[in-house]
Amino acid sequence: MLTFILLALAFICGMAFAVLSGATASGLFLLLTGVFGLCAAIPFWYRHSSNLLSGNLAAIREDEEALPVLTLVFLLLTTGSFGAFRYISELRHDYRGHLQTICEKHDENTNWRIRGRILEEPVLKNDHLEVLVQPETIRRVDRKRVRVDGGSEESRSRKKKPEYETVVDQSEAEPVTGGLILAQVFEDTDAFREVRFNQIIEIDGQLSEASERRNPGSLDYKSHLRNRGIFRTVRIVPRKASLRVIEDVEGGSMWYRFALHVKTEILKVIKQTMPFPESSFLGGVLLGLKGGLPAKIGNEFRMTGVSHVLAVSGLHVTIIAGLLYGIFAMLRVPLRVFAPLIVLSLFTFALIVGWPSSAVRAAIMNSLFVLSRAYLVGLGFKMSVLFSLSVACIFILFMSPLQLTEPSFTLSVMAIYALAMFSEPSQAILKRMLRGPGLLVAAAATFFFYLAIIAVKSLVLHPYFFPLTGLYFFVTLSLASRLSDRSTFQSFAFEMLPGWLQSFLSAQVAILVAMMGPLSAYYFGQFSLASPVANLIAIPLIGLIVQLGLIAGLIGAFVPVIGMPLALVLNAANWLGVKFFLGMASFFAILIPFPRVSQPGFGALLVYYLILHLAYFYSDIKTWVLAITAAVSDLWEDDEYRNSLAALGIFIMIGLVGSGVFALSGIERTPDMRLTMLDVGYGSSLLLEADGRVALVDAGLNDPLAGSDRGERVVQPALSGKQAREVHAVILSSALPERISGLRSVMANYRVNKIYVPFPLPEDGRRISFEDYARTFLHGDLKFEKRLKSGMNAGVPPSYFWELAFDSYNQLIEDVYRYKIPVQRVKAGDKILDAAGVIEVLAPQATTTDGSFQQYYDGLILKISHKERNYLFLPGNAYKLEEVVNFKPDFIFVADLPSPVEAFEKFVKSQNPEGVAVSYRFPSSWLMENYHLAATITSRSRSYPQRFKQWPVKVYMTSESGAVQVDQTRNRVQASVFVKDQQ
Amino acid sequence: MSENKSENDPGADGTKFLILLMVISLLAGGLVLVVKSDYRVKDNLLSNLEYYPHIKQEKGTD
Repeated sequence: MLTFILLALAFICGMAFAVLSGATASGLFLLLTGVFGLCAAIPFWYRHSSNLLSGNLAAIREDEEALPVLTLVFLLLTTGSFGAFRYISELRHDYRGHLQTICEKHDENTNWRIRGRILEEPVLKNDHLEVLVQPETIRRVDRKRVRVDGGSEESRSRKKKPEYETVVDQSEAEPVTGGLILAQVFEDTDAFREVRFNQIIEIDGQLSEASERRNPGSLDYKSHLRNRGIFRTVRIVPRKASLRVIEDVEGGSMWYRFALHVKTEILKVIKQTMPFPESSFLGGVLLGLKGGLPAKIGNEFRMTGVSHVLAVSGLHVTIIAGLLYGIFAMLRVPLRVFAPLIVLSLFTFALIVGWPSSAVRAAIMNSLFVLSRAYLVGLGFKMSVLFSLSVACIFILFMSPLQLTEPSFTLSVMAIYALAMFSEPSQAILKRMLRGPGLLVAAAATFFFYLAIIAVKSLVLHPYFFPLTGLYFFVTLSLASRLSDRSTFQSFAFEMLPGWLQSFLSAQVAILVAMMGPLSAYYFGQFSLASPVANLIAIPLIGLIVQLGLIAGLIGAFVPVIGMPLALVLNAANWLGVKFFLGMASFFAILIPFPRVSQPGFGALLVYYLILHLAYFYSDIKTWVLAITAAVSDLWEDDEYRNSLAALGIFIMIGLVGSGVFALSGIERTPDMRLTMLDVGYGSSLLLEADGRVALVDAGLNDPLAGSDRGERVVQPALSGKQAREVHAVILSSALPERISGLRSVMANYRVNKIYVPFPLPEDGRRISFEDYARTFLHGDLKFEKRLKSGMNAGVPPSYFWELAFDSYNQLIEDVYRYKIPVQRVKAGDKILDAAGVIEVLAPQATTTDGSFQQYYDGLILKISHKERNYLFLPGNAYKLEEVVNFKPDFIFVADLPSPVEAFEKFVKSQNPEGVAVSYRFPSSWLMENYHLAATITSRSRSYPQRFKQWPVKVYMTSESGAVQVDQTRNRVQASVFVKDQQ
Repeated sequence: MSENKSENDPGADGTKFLILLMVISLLAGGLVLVVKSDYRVKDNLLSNLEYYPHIKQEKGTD
């Protein structure tokens, strides 16, 4: 068993090496696999050749050293190399016939006609279905409007209006041999209600490639899709693209069709026996149907750390295994008979929920346990969790190697690893530490910790909140331990709790320290403080909900006559549980804050796990180290082994040094100053870092109608990825919503030390009226503003944009007051010294006499300096450039399309900076609705980018390049972009 | 004696739990249906109209 576990570990390490090194030579690793395999065979043959030749395998089995050490070492290298080969070969997509190879020859505007098959049951995602399509053939389609001649002389002579018709010109169909397409079918299309698993369909439309990492700390969606084999996506929306069902195929795997049938029938029962939104929760936890769950509930689950219940994790499979075990035992069926049925049911369930790695892992592990208990217990065989976990990992990674880099796979595996390795030691520690006065101290300290963060929510915004919390609990546990050790008799102690409760609490501690805490910070940059409390309720409750839901679903779907009424009664009871679950999540989400954590790097994560293992298994590790040292010393005394040992030592040293050099080469030299123009879509945000300080110029747009908060989605992950604990200064260049509204969520998660603004910003927390707002902030809406000045009541805000602008400003007033952030109004000549670098305000010159602020003309122009380098920040307005800029900028950052572009072009050509970064993307249609500048924006966004390409200076648009990062290292300025040029 | 039996047969505990779960659920579910007059198949279907709308309800439940 231990050998198998080691080999599985080597296989995973080989894959991890391929991921980290970015190696692409699959042939080399295949060769190494062969060579190492041969090397492994030689010592084995040397030791057992006689037995092998005589066919005496029993003798080999009885040999104490059946597998020579050298064979084992080379076997580990063989599996490691094979792991690397398997991973790299799966990444290949450059062969003829692969979707990627076909599509990359043409631009994104190419129209395609794809014929293919729907690979799995479509998944509902809010307003669209995600349909996974395996393309079989693909062809280019050109549509042309061709003038049709009247034909006869008579019709031409009558001067009839010319007639046109669409001519479809299509290339020959190319067979597709690799790569999948993800079609997003929106609800306003006919296909939305027609698509099913296994249909043959035809898609007409443009294919696009998913976006890669566009900002620091953000999700790489492209890589996520590629790990599922998806290389292109297509949006099926009216007039843009279409999806037609050509044929309903009844074939396909019988088992899969059976699983789908069960899933559909249970879903029908859920829809009849539980109201919405509780039904969407039950569908999520029971059938893995994440779609349809209201966003608010999803968000609350994330905040309370109970989202794992929706992931159909191993917990669900284990619950179902337990349920089936109970049912068969109740019916007095012998284990030997029902064990295969349980195995079949578990894999069918994994298929029902969409075959995610977590469910497959749990199905394999539970099956191994059930089968070993049924058939091998008589032989003295006891299944170990680590062995079954190794089998599951090998299976999943062999079948889909790219799963290795998916958070869902890692979280699932590490959850089981944490339970297997750390539960019992945690229980021992808790038993030792939590007795009598020790238990009292620990309970009181935990209670006061939660009381403090509930009462003073801003505590979690402290830059050192997490390190101090760690220290607090370390001191508490040390004190509790000492008090417990001193006291000989206790009337209350942890070990007096019922056994199941002790195990449950210990498992929670194990999960927290060995999985949820470190991995949540690593992957998501967040840590739910409510999670330890909420999961104490959530985990037992979800067990009841899943079991009851499954029983009700099966009875309702497959028992005639009384089935549905019975399911209604059972799910009515289950509704109480679901309601309580949702209420509990909502309660904790409001009660306990959900702070951001600095995202640790991979190296820091490894160090954490090393320390954790040392802390938990110090005596075991010490014993192993002493034993190995003694064995090596003994062998070293023996001349026969000395040379081999020396060779092995040199080999290990080379490996360690090589790994060290490799790790060090990956460490980036910290620049003296870094300026990152984030890709926030429409709006702007510039992140400044220098001398350990972080500052933000603007914070992007929070568009509630689109449900897209760039402050939360872009700015916060960027800050978290850069391990920022606080924001030393926020500078808002104007009060436009696309620059200030994203700040709300940033202020809720990070301590902001000071805010600098060029416009009036009250600190009393009182909202201002719309009329006052419209009088203070001029948006260039001349008609509207004239009406106001003439004394006419403005009444209802004229457009969504105005409404958003008004609301964002009032929210800023409230937040500044709530978080007690000092505000300073700045004008030309002021210097900001507590941000990153030295920032000098060049414009606006002074406040106007009537106190009004012109959003597009009074924005801040900034000179950002560090050592001998200077950078220019422009709000978009280029009218005053020549007047106010009295230095040569090394790089220019523009928060919007510069206007007038002629003035900006002249300035850029005269100053010749090393580059220009423009933050811009065309705004959403609802933002532009009734917006007085819509026509101007549309015209500029069409013509300006083309114009920029003609300039001698490189202009980076965030819409094309993603975030633009400018590093100043030893006075050298270097620009880089997150999205590399595709051409 | 019974404790020993339970230790040897983990299915026995599961069986007891399952029976208890069903009895309590039937009682609680019945109570919900009595107290909450809009907890009916027809009402549930109505509230779920937008939830997986492409799954057709073939049975004439309303």
